Amino acid sequence: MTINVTNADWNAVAPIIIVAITGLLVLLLDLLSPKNISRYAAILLGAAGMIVAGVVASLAYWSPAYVAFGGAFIQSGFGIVFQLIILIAGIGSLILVRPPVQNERIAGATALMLWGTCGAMLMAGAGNLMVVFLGLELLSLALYCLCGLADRPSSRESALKYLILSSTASGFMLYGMALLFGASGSVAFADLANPALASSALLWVGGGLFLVGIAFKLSLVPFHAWSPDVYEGAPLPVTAFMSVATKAGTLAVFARFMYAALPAGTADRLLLPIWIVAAISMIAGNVGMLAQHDLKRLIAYSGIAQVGYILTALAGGTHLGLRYAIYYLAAYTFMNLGAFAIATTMSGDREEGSHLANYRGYGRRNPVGAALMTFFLLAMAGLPPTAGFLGKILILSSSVGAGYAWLGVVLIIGTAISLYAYAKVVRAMYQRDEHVHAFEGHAPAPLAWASAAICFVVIIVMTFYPYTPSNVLPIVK
Amino acid sequence: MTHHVMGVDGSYPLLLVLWLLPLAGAILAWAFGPQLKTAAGWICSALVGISFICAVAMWGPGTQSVSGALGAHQALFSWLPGFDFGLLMDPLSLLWTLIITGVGFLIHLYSIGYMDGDRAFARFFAYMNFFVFAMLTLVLSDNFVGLLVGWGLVGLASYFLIGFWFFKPSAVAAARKAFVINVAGDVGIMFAIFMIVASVHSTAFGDAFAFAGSYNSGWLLAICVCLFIGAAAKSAQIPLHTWLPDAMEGPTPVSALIHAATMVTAGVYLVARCAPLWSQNHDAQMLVGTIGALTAIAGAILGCAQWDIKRILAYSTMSQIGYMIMGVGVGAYEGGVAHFFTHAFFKAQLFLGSGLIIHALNNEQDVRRMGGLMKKMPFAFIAMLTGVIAISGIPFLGAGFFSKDLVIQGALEHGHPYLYAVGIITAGITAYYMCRLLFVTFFGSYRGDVDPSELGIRHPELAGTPAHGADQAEAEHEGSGHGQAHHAPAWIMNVPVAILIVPTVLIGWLMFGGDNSPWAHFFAQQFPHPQLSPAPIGEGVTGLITFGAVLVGIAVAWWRYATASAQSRAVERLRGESIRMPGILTHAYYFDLALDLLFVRTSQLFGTIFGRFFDPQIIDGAVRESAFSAQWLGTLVRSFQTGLLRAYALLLVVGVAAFMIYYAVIAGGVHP
Amino acid sequence: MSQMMAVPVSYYVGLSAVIFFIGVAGVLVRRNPLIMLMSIELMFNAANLLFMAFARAWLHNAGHIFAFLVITVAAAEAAIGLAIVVTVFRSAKHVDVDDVALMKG
Repeated sequence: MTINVTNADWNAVAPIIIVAITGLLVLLLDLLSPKNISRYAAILLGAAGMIVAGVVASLAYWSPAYVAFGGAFIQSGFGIVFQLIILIAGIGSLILVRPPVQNERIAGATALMLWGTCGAMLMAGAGNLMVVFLGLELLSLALYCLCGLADRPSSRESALKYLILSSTASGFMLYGMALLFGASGSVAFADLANPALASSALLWVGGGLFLVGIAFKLSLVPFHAWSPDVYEGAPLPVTAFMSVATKAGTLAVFARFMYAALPAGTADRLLLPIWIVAAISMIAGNVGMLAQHDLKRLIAYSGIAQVGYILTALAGGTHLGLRYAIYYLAAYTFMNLGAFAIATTMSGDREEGSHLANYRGYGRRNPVGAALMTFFLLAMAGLPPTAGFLGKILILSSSVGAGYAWLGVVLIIGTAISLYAYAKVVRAMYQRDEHVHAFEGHAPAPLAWASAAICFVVIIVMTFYPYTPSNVLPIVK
Repeated sequence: MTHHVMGVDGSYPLLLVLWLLPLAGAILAWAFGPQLKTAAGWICSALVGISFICAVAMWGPGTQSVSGALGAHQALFSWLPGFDFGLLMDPLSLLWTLIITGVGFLIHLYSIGYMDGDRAFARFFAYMNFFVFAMLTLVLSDNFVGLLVGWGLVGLASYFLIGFWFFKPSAVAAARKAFVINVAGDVGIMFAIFMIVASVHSTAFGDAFAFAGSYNSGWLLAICVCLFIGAAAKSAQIPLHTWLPDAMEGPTPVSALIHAATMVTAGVYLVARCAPLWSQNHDAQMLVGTIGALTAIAGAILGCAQWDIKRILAYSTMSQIGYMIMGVGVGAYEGGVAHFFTHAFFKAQLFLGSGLIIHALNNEQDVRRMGGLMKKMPFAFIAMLTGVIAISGIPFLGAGFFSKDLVIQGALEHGHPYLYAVGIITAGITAYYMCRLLFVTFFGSYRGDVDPSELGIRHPELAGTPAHGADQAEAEHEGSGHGQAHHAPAWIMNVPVAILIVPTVLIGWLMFGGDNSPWAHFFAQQFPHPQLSPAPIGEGVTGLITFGAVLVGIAVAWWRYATASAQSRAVERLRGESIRMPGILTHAYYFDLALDLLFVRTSQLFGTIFGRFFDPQIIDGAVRESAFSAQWLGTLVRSFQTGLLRAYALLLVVGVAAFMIYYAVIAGGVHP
Repeated sequence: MSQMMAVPVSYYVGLSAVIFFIGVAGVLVRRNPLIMLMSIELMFNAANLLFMAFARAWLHNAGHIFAFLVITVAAAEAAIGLAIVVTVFRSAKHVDVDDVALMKG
């Protein structure tokens, strides 16, 4: 088989190449520039690169889908929407980078984050299993390093845990891919959707292992155990990045697999375990939040549940469900980034102070920050009038329409439980400040404030002008 | 899916104007309060007045009926399919709008006199106008989300206004309590919306009601129960009523407008609005009717045990709303709504009348320290007298008779003889405690100079008036700079009261004449009218029985408080009654205690959240630790997180094994 | 060619499954992170074997390319893994993952 690579093919991956080259430029800049250059230079260059990539990506949004590199990469509205969400996550978490990642490591951290973004973007556009694996590993390898960047034992521990567990899960997923290849004789998603394969045991077992990998990356219960520990240990911006970019990339792969790569009539049975673990996650994630005392851990558990909500939208495989899932994912991105931005403004030079005790009296010390944080948390909880509320309403309507009302019921129960947990953080902020704080000298974080403000505005706009992307189907041409 | 819009679509600028004017007033008074000074009151009142005129002008479009579409519908903006926002004015919302703006206007006028000299005069009017706007949003919205937004905003406005005198700790506590309970109600409505959207993919009333017949009955019951949690919280129905008496900490005009005439009847509006849902589910009707009847009689009994004039009125409000809820609950929608209508007038009248007294007596609210005011304040006496006649339901002399009769008779017609009996008994109790209020306050001789301990007032825990007393009133007086000792009621306070006398006495005649009454015509197309078998007892006979109960109540009150011998020994009698009052009544059946343990403590954090967020100066040091009863569940989940990498790997592999067993079985099935 | 095909593909599948389970068991039972990483390499290589076998069976070179890709990724992962293990256990006498449990709950 020969593949003719044309300019159009390179254009399809141009955003990814831009981000990758920006990573190199950041390292080069660090090498050539004098030591005393502002530590924001690397961050700003990285952010600028991602913005350019975002603009380039969105230019192709309305054009018809293009299959590049012989089916390896697909440039379509679906992939571009996910790529944009990933880029937003990249920018939103990159600008949170600051001490405790020390100055001399900032360039490296920036470059790693850029390449991790590349990996997630590859996943969003992947047309075959090989590119999925490449993107996944590119993302994961970058994250292993990023997790261990902070100079404290918990950060190193999180890197080790993430490395071992994620690699194990990758092993399962890879084995599943090998079996899928064995079933279809092709690595392309499109070739899996062959009705003849419905009776192939290789497809079922391979698909099952593939979904295990997906469930791990989405941190669904019982594959979730890594996420609270890793989120807690990793530096704040990395946690922010992980909580959104990994999930967005993996959801794109999952959606493509589910909407475009399944033989007719197999979807209900093949995906049932995913819906079950999604339901368990919605309950266990929200319940797990109740007993947490660390903001990053709490958001890890919250993320477990939030992914369950997004999967609820996808269940049934309707067009509307996919659009609503993307809407909720976007809302989730901004809520999370906003909350992490506020958390960043509170972090000190060495420690990050994400323990809830440090939030005591925050409402008094910084009313604006506390109000914004409250807003983001209420949005995550899904209280009106926020995009979180609207998203949940949309998800409910689509899940019932698609015949998965039971997932909707679980979502309602999970939401009710989560109200307590989110309120806990809010309560801590407006509580009296009884003890002296370890983190008095907060370094100013103008970029984090800007990020929080932007997230706030975007959520408000999303609430009143909800746009759910309409040209995301067909996913695979 | 086709979408069902209620009302005739069109462009109704008046509707927008009447909706937005109060908001403009609120912003104006808020932003330019210090510059405007007293003018803020006049401007805000005028805006509400103009709103009222617009509402009257909307009468035609609001009552029009074109091929099944009733009322006027103004689209505002489109969200997603099924999430359109608009304003709907049909007879039901027209009625509420007229009351909100009409009675609201009078109460605004009254407030100019009542709040005269208060430091935060302009802020008060900003809040009041904001409330009117929020309430209009609630009743004019054409969908559940808009209703919920209005629902939340009126709660917020009520929170601000109850805690208006925030230097009183009791006011702050009352404000927070009201807020907490109301947020619980909001969450109930939120879940109802979730369920409705899940069924019909839309939040519009039209869509939700068009499919009323096709809901699964259990699902519909769940929707109705969730909605009613919201309604019960807002309308102070058992067991969510405890905030209402405490809410009397707010200024008296606030009590009149929000906690008597309008906001607390939002629950009645909600049930009446969702009549198509309720009509489909008998269990839900039964539940609402029973809760309403229970609240009616429980509130009336508590009204007999109070000494604070405003708390008596608060319990009577609760009891009267119980009537309304009972009416709309059993399906007698015209009756329930009629009682809202007349109640808005006579209860506003009673509150404003009591405000005249409180104002004149320098913030004294304890009826034991009043007495003999008939000669001193003849105008207040007439105001209160008409109100008492109306609320007691004395035939033909007051508005309450007609509407209460509709509710009681409606309960019987819809097959609820027990609720009918409760309604009649409650009418008797109502007559008793309202006459008690009237006789103790106006008859006999003035007791304001009697040592409070002689009257049993030094036993506040026995007297059931924990929050009040001379000290509190004094604090309020000093702190607000409100009132310069013995102010004579300004004419501006008397005029609204005088105006209100007219509807208090006469408005009930609208409901006279059974099916041919103007009232029945007004609502002919609004509510479902199932075929009912004729009631075993006719309307006239019911009226007579009720009147009998009322006469008994009045007679007992007369015997206890108004006969010559009772008046001559009034001090000893009141003291004895204060001391001997059963604890279960003075503590309002210990509901507060039970609720506090069960409910408020766990959700108090919401109050804390919003309280500190919106008004940090109000809630100072009053934040208590609240227990998280659900925390142990979280600990259970935590116990899986041992922190050991290999344990996580094991969990992962166990998960994979579970997946693989499933897929192996499936694969075995497809691949024999 | 015909000699190669004499070994049916199911034999390769069986062998790779055995290697894969040895890898999984290694991750579960070994406490030394380096050996855990080696076990993960086993899992990857079991998949590689499968890719090669299926590529042969389907006469499709995508399997070969995939295997190269996996080898490359595994090399990168080994490098990064080694670096992380070194930073974690730099000052420890024993290299035991059970000693690393600061964060839990």
